[in-house]
Amino acid sequence: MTRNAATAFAIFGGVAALAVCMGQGSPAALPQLADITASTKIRFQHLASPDKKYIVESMSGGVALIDYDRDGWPDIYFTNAPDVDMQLAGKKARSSLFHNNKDGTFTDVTDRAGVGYPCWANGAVVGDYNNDGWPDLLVTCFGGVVLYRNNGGVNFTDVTRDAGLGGDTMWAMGAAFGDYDGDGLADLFVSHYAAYDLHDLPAFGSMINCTYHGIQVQCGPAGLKGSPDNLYRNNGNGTFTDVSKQAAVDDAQKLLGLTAVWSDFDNDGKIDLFVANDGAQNYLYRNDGKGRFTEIGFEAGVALDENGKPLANMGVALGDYLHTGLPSVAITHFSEQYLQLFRNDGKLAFTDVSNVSRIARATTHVVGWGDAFYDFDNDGWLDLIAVNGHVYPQVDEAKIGVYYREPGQLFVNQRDGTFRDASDQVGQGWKVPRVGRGLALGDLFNDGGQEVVVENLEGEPAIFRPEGGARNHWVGFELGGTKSNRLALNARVKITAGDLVQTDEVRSSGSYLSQSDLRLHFGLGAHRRADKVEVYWPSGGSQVLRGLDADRFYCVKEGAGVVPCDEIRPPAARTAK
Amino acid sequence: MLYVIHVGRFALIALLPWLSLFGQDVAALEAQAAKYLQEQKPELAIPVLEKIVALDPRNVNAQANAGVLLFFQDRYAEALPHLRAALALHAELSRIEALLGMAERRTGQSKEALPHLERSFSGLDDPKIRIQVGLELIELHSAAGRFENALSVAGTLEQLAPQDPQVLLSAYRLARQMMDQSLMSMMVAGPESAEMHMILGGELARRGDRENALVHFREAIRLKPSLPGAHFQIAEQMRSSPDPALNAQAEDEYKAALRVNPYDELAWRELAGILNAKGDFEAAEEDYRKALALQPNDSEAKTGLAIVLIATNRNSDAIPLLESALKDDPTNMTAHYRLSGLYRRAGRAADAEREMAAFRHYTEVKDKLGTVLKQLVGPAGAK
Repeated sequence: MTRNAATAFAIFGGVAALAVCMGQGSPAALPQLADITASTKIRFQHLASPDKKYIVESMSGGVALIDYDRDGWPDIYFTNAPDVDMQLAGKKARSSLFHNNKDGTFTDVTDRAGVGYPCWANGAVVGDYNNDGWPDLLVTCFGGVVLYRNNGGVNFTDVTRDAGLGGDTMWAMGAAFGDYDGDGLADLFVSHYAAYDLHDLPAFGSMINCTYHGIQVQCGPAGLKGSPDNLYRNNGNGTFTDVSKQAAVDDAQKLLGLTAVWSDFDNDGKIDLFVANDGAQNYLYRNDGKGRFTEIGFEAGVALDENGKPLANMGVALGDYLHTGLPSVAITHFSEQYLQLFRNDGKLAFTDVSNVSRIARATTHVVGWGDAFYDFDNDGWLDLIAVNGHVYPQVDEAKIGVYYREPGQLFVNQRDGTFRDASDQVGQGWKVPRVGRGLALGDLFNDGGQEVVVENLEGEPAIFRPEGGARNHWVGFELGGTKSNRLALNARVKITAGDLVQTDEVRSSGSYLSQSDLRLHFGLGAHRRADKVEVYWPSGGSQVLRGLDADRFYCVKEGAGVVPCDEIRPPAARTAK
Repeated sequence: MLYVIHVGRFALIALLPWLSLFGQDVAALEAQAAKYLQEQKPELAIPVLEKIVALDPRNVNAQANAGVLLFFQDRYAEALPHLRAALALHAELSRIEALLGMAERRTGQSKEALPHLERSFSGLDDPKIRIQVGLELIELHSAAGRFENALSVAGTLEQLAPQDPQVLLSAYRLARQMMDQSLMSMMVAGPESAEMHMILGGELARRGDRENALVHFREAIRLKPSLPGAHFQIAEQMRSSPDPALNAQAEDEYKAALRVNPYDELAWRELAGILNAKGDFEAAEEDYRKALALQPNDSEAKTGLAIVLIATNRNSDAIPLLESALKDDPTNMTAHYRLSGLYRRAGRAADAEREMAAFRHYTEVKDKLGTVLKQLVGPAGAK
């Protein structure tokens, strides 16, 4: 079901295609991020109490791109959460799944899919826990997790208890699937935030941790006790076993865990684990093999900021923005801190280059959440995008120069290790202040441009489509594991097109509480073909593909190479259970 | 025989074996008193000692022990004649003189107390008693407005017991009293002066009222454009504000501070920090070096310069600079952290681990301090 760019443009026609054509006349111009939310016909409102008296009311808002029916067109799941009063009164908030109609619009299929009311939903990530080729959905909750098994692309069943995940009652935020032990099955890590009791809540403005520049606000995260984290090993029979302690990733310090991501940071074939902790040091767990990890955040230089201060680590983006073949790490933070960029120097050594890269100064005044490395102009160099939004509505009335709603930011890769703040140059829609939280990337319309899907804490989500700019080429890959896990999580692809050499990795989770499209997307600039594509599978095997034409998606099967997509997708949809 | 009397914080050692000078009556009483003292029964020992001194007023041991026991029974007025008598009989008894001074102070005889406390303070070798006497002296001097004398004593105590909470509290109170005194004097001498506005601005800034602090600092500059420090204070307030518009103005204020006083080392240092954050590494390095020329032992300036060197790929130059910064200030957490990273990159794993351990140690100390401070400033009734 791949499409080339011309076909996709033809599907859309109208305004979108016109904008693309207009952009061709000025190749130096940046693409514009057009707000296309209304035209998608997605209608969704994230619930929010007006005052945000409790921190738990400020943290939800994840978005997951999941091609749940494996038709090759990403669908969208938005989490939703009640406020404290609703929760105590037994009222629920409806999360929503939207099916991609392949014509630029989406249809709300939440009810028939059975994913509307998982819990007090924070984030959502995608993995195939039963390795049947149908992507499953894991929702992190205030009160554990909910695992939805995908029933053949028709609907979902809550299998949390059957899978052995029902014992988690803590405030879960981050989660990520990944095959840490190399058995071809996706294991699951869940990070937890604060130990928080809705029946014993710290009163608004009641102590020093509940003030912000003299304003009374919600309490926390300072002063809150944290909860430990969990690693669940996939037993291969639809259940998991908690191996947190024996793997040494249980967070004995009980820090306030947020985003967690698996990645092979040192290309040694074993995936490592990064956990962003709010207001404390980040964890980098080196995979030592044999089911054990060693926490090396301090030694690796990713625990704190460059001067040794713990920051409010929230969203995590990974990307090879320097073309070194290694994923660097970008982390969003609170205001009066900055978006932190850790350059991966290899051998699990990182350098905080936030200042040198020109990112820090531009991000000091915002509270950042979802973020991603994003080649929005398809020039082959990863740019960086982030959404912002404060946690305290009260800042608006305090007149301290900080605002609740904040516009997103986009930084253009200067190809020399630095970025240029282009936030004001990519369209009016992007400049609208919002209370942003989740952010996910995916080529929703299979036209070669990755859309940005943002879930806002307050009100409607926002979907941005890159339009105009240079007429650059691209290529996309949908991977199917055979010996490796079927969704090919943490498979790496190295692509060479002329002088462009890029590397990316299929990842579950990332950004803030979010899941981007599992397909890998590479901008190729002016190159019309990928000369060489190397695929490194989690199983240890690799493949080399040569001379792939640009501007289309390829389905690649482990051990077989480029195949018709049906060969890596599961057979016909099964009857819903 | 040697008797040790444990009372309160003091462990006073009786002076000498008692001498039986006046026959069996005194000897018997002495034995009885000694027994009570051994049994830690001062309330029974006191009347026996008083009988001894009635029979033998020159019995220095009995006088001294009677005075000590009465003092620690809080019977200061009754202790006074015994302590005075003991001191008259044996002028070198510093501990007795210390108690005498304290007893006099507690009975409203501050004038008499002062020379006794001062003399004993210099003669005492027991640090616990010396600290107590010093604290009393600071209070006496402060109450009389003799801040110089109080500061002198406080300085001695801080050397003697730099981590004693009582000593630190006393120093803190003294500093606050001096601030209040200066403020009162300023209100009389120059209530509309630029300097008065500087004080008010500083007080408001300390309380977190940035907006009004800036008003006073600006008024100070209006009244006296050449007033040193005013622009620097404005810059500091602007820089620490959450408001990006104010942040952006801080650089100009540091520059203004340097126009008023080109020897303002802190202004050079902080300006360099802003330039570094802007990515203007060349200018930042230049200004850090100016700061260090003015204050070669500024640990923070050395660290800032090292950070610029690291940013410009001169790690090997940054290492000795950070090592030097830590000699100037071993508690410099940033220097420990940065140095650990540089050592690790240089393959000096053991050195890296040592610096990381130091960093973690000071982090713990800082966290504890932060917790205490939050408890101090937290609203009453906080959960």
